[in-house]
Amino acid sequence: MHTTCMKRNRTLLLALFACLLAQPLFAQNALSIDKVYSVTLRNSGPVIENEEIKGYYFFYQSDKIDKRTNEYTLQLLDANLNKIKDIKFQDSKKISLLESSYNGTALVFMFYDEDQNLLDFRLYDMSGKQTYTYSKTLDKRSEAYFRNTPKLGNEEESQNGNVFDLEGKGFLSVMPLREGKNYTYEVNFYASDKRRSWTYNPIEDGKFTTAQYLGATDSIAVVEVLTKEKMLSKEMVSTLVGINLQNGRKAFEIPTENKGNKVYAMNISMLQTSSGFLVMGPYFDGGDRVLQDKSLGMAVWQMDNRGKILSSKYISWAGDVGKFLKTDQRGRVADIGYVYFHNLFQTEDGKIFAIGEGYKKTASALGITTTVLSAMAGGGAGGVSTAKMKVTDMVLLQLNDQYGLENATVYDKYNNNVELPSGSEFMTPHTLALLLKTYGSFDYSFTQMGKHKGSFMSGYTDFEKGKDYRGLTFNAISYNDGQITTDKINLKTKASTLRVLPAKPGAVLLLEYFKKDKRLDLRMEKLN
Amino acid sequence: MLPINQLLFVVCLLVAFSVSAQTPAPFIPLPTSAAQKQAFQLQTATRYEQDLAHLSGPYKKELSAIYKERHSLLEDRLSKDEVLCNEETQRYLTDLALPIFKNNPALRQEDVRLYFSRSFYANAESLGEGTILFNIGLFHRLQNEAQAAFVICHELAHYFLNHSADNIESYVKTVHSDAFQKELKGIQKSGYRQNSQLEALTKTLTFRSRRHSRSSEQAADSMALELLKNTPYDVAEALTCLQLLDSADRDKYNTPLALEQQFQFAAFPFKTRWLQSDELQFIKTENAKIAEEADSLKTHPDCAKRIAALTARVEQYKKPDAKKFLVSTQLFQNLIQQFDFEIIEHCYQSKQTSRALYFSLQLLPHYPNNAYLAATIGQCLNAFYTAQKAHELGTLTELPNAAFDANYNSLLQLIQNLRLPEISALAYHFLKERENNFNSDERFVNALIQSKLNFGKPEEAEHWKARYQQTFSKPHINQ
Repeated sequence: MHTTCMKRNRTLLLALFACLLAQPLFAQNALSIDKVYSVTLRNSGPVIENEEIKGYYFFYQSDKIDKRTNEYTLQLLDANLNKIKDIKFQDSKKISLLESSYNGTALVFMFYDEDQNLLDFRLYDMSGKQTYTYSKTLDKRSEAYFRNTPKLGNEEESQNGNVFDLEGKGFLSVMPLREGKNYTYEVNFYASDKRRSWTYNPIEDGKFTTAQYLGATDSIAVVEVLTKEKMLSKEMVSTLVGINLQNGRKAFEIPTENKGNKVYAMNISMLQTSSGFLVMGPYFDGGDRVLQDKSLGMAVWQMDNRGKILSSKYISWAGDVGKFLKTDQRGRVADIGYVYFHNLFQTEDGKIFAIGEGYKKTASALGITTTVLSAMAGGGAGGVSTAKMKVTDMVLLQLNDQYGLENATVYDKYNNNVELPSGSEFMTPHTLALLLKTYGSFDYSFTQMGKHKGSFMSGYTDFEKGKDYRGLTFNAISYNDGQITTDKINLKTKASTLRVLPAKPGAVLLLEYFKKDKRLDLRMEKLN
Repeated sequence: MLPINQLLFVVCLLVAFSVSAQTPAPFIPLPTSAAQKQAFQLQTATRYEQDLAHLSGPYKKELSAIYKERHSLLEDRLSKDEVLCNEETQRYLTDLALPIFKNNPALRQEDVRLYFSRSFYANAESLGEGTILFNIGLFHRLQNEAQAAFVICHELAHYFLNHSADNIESYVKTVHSDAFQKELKGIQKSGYRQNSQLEALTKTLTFRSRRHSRSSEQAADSMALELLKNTPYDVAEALTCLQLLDSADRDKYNTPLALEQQFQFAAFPFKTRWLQSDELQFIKTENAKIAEEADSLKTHPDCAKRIAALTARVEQYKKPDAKKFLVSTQLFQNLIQQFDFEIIEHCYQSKQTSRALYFSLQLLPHYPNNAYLAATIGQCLNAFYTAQKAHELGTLTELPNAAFDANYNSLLQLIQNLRLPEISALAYHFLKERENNFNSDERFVNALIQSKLNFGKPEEAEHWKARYQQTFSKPHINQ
């Protein structure tokens, strides 16, 4: 009599095709439309604003136009998985969508065009209309980097690597560059309210320089710059560079050394009551090499927009963390080993949290056997190190609004053993941590912030070997209304593959792919 | 002899809301008649076998597959108790349709199985094999029996004009025709722009199918009026019925839910953040071409157009002694109110829990002293708590969606924003506030005990468990 159809969009199976066909298809012998129709999912990811998940994009190749050109469909879903927009366009068959970001008024999609070797930043307004496109031709080093970017799977999925939102203003991109023998970087700003952009290029000679975006205040963007004189040099200089958001000029450049301590800055956070910001990260002895030697603890600097350090606080493993957890003089926490910080952040109530994961070196039976057998056979060392790494438990440090350590908690999980390549036994703890990160051997998944940073959830996976349950689990450490809680979701599934993705505050998105049925199911789960 | 629960129901149906609409008798869900369910199953299975036996020609296999799927879907709906197999409502529906069959002897009543469906959607449907399902979600919005009779006539017209079977056959013949297959093979060989060609081909097919459906709707309206005019029912009610259908996408009780008031407690104040949503929203593009296309693809012509098409003949067929009610005004009104509650019960039982909570909250301001509504709201919140704890909340609630009513979306947003302890707190305070009023209602006390356990008040739960044992003769506490 009257048709009403209200169903949830949760399964993306040839999504475009399903939209078009209301009628069932039932040809067994004859050719049917679904046998001819094909769309390929090229990429998918979250749409992020201020570290909060606002929705998702799915990038399909929806048709072949000619030898060189494809038709693409960029499908946008909101945070509740409702389809909100299909954007169709034709482009080279060699483009890939790398990242997306949302700044409250506009969306940006960063495409890499392999044919023309350029990055395209395509901006859309909230009616889904394309407003501006900014293109950037890549040099050799950037080219190599972006060719490999789609294959990198171990980046934290709740954070972008290259494109960052500036609320209402536009987007910032931090890119590695190569100029002759020099490795350097470039910061680009792309406005979203009008066509305007600027580029910041550092002036440095004969150095190997990398830059990491830390965050922005309302007037400056802050990047951490690590510089070495030679490619293989172990000496690295760390500086903080502030860039004026209005004109792209350098506002300040200061070394990350203070009171005899070197800081490896990982994050900045806005202060609730002033225009300044906090810089947070592990710190090292002034004579040590940042990223080579063991860290002494965690540093918090309060800075102003001119780069002046107003105050600093150092939380040491031995002195401060030791009051809550048993630590030794080498900075190791009992039963856990060294701690690698994955993320540091400040919540709306002023508290600071650092989420880390333990790791320690142990002897490898496989490595020793291989070495002995190689020696007996008159050969050199085998391909496996005589040491292996054990990835241990999660650690959460909680600082009060005066940056004093309030609590340190260990969250047990099953240990993972990671065999190392030959020679790794001589590496320093921090280098080993970076190696583990590169291998994707840590269990930490991501941290997602709640609305207005009022809460957070840090997630990690574990493989339980218990009596009641044996299999993969996703574990959450959450902070809400001043309380830390934990939760666990068992991830046993009949799907061929399963991914846990960050979702809207208080939830995670489970993406299950059923290879046999060519079906992709999206399931939102609220966390407790 | 009728079982006690059925007897109770008959009594309730007759006297239920006669005193005052504000003080209805306790709601008792309509019992399912096992015999009737079995009969329905047998009749539909027999008809399915007959339909298969009559199939012939080159597309027999394809048609069989569709018929099989249709039959399986109906069996599934029956197994989930969506088909309302209840002797009293069935008797009423038969009585309602009787004047139609009696005054239109060309219609073979024995071919038709007319049943209520417990679905909340404002809809009715003719499945094409003789089954007509009249959703209680549509019935409870109607104003009189003549409107209901027009709905039945419309679905009978679909059936006797063979619309469903014709649609199926037409579709199968089209997609298996030489011309269509040739076109499809051509696209397959073309190498480029395959999908855009397929989309164009599919769109043509969909346009054709929908255009056919729209003309079927107009034909069904037209025949329905011809059937209705032969009965004592008032044909003018066909037009008022179509007017009602025009607003069927809106909720029956189209008033704000006022969640801030319903869940406001002195010991646990409502938090505005529970309703906040700042998710990514695109402004809907008002593209004329898209709008035009959407209209062309609509199965049903606009109700205004349908009304216009019938108005002249309605004027012509009007009779001064035409009736709005033939069976019973009282029974009709009682059913309307019974169905308000029955929809909630079915949503709750079929795990459409967010819908059950929504409809309960809509009704509560109308019946603030109704124990069933209070108990159901508590039960829904308890169920959310249990499901959320096991990370299965998605099995009981939908996610906010722009296609939903704004009222329903605000409730869905609340469910999404509530944290586990807050769900248990809401249930606890909501039920505690009413525990002295409804302590003689078994379902309410059951929900109350569960809420106290979930909220970490085991002593209070024990107290109410003891009272429960004393008060109810055959206790069956869920815990």
